[in-house]
Amino acid sequence: MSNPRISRYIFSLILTVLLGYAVFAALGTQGGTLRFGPHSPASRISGAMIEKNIEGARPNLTAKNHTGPSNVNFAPGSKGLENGAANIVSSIVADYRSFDTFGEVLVLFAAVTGFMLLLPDKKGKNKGVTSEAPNFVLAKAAPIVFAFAMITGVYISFNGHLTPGGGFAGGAVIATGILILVLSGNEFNSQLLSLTETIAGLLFLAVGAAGLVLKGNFLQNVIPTGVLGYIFSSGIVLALNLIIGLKVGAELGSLILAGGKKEI
Amino acid sequence: MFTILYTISLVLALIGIFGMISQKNLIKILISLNILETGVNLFLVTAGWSAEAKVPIITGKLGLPAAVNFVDPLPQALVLTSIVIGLGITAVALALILRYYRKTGSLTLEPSEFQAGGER
Repeated sequence: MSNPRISRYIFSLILTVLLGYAVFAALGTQGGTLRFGPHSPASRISGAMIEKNIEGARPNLTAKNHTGPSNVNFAPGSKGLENGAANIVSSIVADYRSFDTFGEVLVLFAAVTGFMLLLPDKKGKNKGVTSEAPNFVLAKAAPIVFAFAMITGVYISFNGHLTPGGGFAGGAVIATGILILVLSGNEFNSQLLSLTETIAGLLFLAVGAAGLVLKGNFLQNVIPTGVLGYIFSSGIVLALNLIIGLKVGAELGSLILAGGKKEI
Repeated sequence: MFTILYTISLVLALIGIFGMISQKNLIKILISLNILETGVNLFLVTAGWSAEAKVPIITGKLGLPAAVNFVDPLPQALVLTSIVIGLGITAVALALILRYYRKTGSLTLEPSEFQAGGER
């Protein structure tokens, strides 16, 4: 017990077990039985978001059999929805809660700014990151992989309202392409990244201001929602996914460029 | 299955907390923080999960009424936000760790020789 490491481990283990017991006791029991467990989805699901019927407007469906607003059978081809995104998560992120997403983008921007500010200066003695020269395969394959990563990132951003994905995932893929370029010793124009990030941020604000001016609410949908399942549908979701993809890709790319410099 | 998923997510979060308390290496503390985030994200996603429900994407193959056939999309949207914020936290923490390494030359949270009264 004299070893401070062992006593530290034992103390941590006791504390963690106590905390875990408290969490499980708070979550798990209500009158001695498990409170969580299998549930019916209908009792928990955010049905208004699924029906795309937040504002109370009845959707004008062209689907075959719909019996009522609570029993809507959505199918590709439905028109006149409040939000035409087939991906419901994407419709929440980029339309119903797009103000949250705006704050999320601001948080990411603040994190990247803090990363740039906190990076140690180049005057120091220690070379923290030692990078070797890239080998043949990495050096030759990096531009090809970069091109495919760019295309995939834009594709994921562009199809965020139809398939799993969206702006954040697409931006992460774009940043992966930049990471491969940095790893292979290539240069990337950081001014271009800054410009892209600025323009994308301003476009996000412009979309929000358009909703404010035309419809009365910040980031309200002003673009026609189109036909469910088509590529040019869902109004603001497609626009915001593209903008977020560009902005996140540029931000993470500039973060990778700053962190991957050899002088660190 | 539901109980198993909840238990796994909470145990993951507890592993992260244990690592954050017990470790002294800053990188290991950051990894523990990421494990804790993973546990919490899994917990939130599990809160909206159901075995008989489908992915919340409207496709041509849905035969049942939509409102009862999807898992709850709201926790997934929240977890998306949570992942992005976790990424930002990780980036800033790595920059801070780099700075600490540049200043002290080590990655462990030992009391340095400059601090009087340290344990060792």
